[in-house]
Amino acid sequence: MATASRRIGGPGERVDAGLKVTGQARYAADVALPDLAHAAYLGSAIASGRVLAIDTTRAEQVGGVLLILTHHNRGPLGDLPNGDGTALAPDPRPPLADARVHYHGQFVAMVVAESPEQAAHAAALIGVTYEPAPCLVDIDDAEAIRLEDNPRRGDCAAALRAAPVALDVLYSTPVQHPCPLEPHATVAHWVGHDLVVHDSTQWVLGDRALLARAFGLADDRVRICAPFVGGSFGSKVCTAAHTLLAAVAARRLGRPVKSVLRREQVLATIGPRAATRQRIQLGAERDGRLVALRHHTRSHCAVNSGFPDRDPFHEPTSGVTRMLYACPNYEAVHDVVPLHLMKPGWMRAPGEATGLWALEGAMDELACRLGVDPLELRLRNHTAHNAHTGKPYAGEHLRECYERGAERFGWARRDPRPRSMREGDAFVGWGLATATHPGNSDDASVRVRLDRDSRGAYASVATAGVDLGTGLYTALAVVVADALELPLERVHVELGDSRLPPAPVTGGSNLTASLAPAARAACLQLRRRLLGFRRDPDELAAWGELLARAGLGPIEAVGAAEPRGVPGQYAYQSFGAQFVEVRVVPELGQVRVTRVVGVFDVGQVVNATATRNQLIGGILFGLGQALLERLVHDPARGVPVGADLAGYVIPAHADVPDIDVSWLDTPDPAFNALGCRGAGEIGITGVAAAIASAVHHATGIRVRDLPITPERLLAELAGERED
Amino acid sequence: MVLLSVNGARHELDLDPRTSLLDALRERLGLTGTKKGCDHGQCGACTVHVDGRRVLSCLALAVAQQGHEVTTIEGLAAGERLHPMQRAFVECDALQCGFCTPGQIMSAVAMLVEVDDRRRLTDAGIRERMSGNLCRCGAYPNILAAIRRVRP
Repeated sequence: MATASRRIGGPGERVDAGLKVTGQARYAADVALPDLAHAAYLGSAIASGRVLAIDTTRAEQVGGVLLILTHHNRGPLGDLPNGDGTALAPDPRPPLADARVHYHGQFVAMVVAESPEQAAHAAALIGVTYEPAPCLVDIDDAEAIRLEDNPRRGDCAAALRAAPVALDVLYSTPVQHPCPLEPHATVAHWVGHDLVVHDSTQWVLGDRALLARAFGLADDRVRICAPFVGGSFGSKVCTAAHTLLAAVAARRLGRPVKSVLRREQVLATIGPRAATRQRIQLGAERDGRLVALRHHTRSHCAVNSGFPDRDPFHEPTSGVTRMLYACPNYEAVHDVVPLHLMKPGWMRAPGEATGLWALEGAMDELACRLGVDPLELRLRNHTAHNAHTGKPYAGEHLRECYERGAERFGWARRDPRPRSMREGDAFVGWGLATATHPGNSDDASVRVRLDRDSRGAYASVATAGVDLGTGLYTALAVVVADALELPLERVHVELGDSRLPPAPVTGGSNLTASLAPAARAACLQLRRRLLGFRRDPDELAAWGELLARAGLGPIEAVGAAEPRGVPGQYAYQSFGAQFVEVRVVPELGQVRVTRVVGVFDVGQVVNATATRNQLIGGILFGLGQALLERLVHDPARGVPVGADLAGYVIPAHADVPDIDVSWLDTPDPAFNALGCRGAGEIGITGVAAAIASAVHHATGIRVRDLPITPERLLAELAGERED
Repeated sequence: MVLLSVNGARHELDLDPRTSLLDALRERLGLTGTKKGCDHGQCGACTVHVDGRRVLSCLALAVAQQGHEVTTIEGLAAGERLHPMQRAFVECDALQCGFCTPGQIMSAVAMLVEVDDRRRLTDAGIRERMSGNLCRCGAYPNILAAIRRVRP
């Protein structure tokens, strides 16, 4: 075999880009089927209480209306699986289960009509009489459930009391929303007794398991297709309520039903990131070495989620605070507050994006208090093993990230005094933070089939895993082209179909790390089989020739991710260092991020082009978290206020700074055969804290409550002028 | 009956007068490359050209487009040959999930036409003029790079 150049880690165009720039990539809402009917929903006008009566008379008279479903006529559905790892429902009760209302916007009726206009019009004509009950939507104003079994080590209370230096600060985050550009969409249809669903989902097998249970079908009678998904960021893990209802309506009508959430329904009915209040207590020696860290979090859950027995999910803020820095005494406490809001879920780097906001903010405060450079403080508290489990990292290069990032940013030139740098009307500030995310992977399988045509051998790669924009199509094509020494254009990748070899949910930055090694394993099996047909071990023969000689026709192999090293021996973790420059014009109070430098260790990078894009995307997600994003609920009625893209503001072109992203070429071979960890989430993790630290450096104002808005800074600056 | 001219082809449609241009394209003509991200004119995913100018098709009524020429992402390439902006988006990796991409490309092509002197268009100017097109994946720096590549 001729040796092809090794492609792994190099740049390269996305293999699905051609489809995406021509409008040919087909997302769920693009699926057209004959006789397609359209769904619309009526959401509850109260956040808590009961539906007393629903009057559908006027809606039924609208031309083209085919079906109206409410809790009176939705019909029976099986129990939804939840908490058993096979699937996730956003609400333990199926939609339209009964008259109870637990959050504003909860579906109380579904209309299906010949056209989307008719369905929307009819839904608006449904009259609902409610019996409202008091609603609680303020995390600071409701009773909490304290979690048992909180992580701890040493004697935190005693160490805090004895520490020469102590810091006690409260950091908070509002409700924030993943808010992908593609609204959640489903096209459901029944083929005989089999259900076929085109869905915007991160997890086709989760969808399949949930729908199979709901309709009492064997798994293989349900097929889920998601070849393209328009972003997700955690919000398409659960099988959404409307997906289930679309399948119910399609069965009832005997025709396909398309269901696309309106933007305000995405914001009101798809789980957000929970609000948090995080008290961080640090105890340190005078040189800054930590002796105690106590992290007390308050976050919210939904009143109807059955927390904690039925659904234990809560924003896992302490996951990162317990492990990041060397500190002998640690204690986490977590209180969870049930509110009349949609059940919170996962949003990019759940736990890290919130937990690091608090911890890294507190570390910057400690550095200021001690007069120690914030970077030096991190180095003094660095650990080469997981501080909580004590396990050594198989690959850990955080010091190098700090070093290289500081060099690229010019950190050494920083004058530590707040307001020491000005440019024109603006205060300029520099801040930094550590970024980190666990190396995750799951059982996964990939089928690779090798065949030949007149141009020689080509490979077809298939797995149920979903590419949410992450670059999975490209990563698998690169890995297979590399392992089989084929040109990239001779590798075809098929994804996102529940009939393909099983793959886990695209989440936790796990998928490339799970599927790329599996694809490689399949290729190695194929190589072994075909190389046996060489005339002698030194023969150079193309795969096409060997296939012909074998007389086999196409051959295929299914690869699984190999088990990694000795179980439990190592911890796997990605790290990074993020440096930020901001400008604040005091008269405007507006923070402009002008420069970001991020240096990451994510193990072996598979495709440099997509990885760079994803890390930048994570950083911009962090910029939104820091400066823009807040989903507000009216405290009296629980109504999401401004639930659209003008009210829930996400970063736009004009918000984008110069971003310098790089990574260390540091494979983590103990983690998997390729040494690659994911890069989908780490980009966001340190950004908010780095921005807040830079704002403090620029202005002297410490903001501990996100987002950092102009009105907040203006109020502080005005207060100073009065003083 | 409404006569719509889209990508050079004429279509006679019996339309509900409430139908937006976006829904007419997607649901009646099968041109699903144009995306619905918000249906409120706030995200730009539905951007198309009407007589060469960028228009948010979710805020335009289909019946009002008679006598005008509509171009969608499907009509931008010359047969198999990509429009230079499409090519630049591929080369600069100016996308991730791809959902906002058709709108970004249509917006970028028309934006360059709006400017009197493209050579004086700064990066900040491009960012400002493209800010009606949201990308949640954060491919913005690469979108800027693609537009700069096409700008003469």
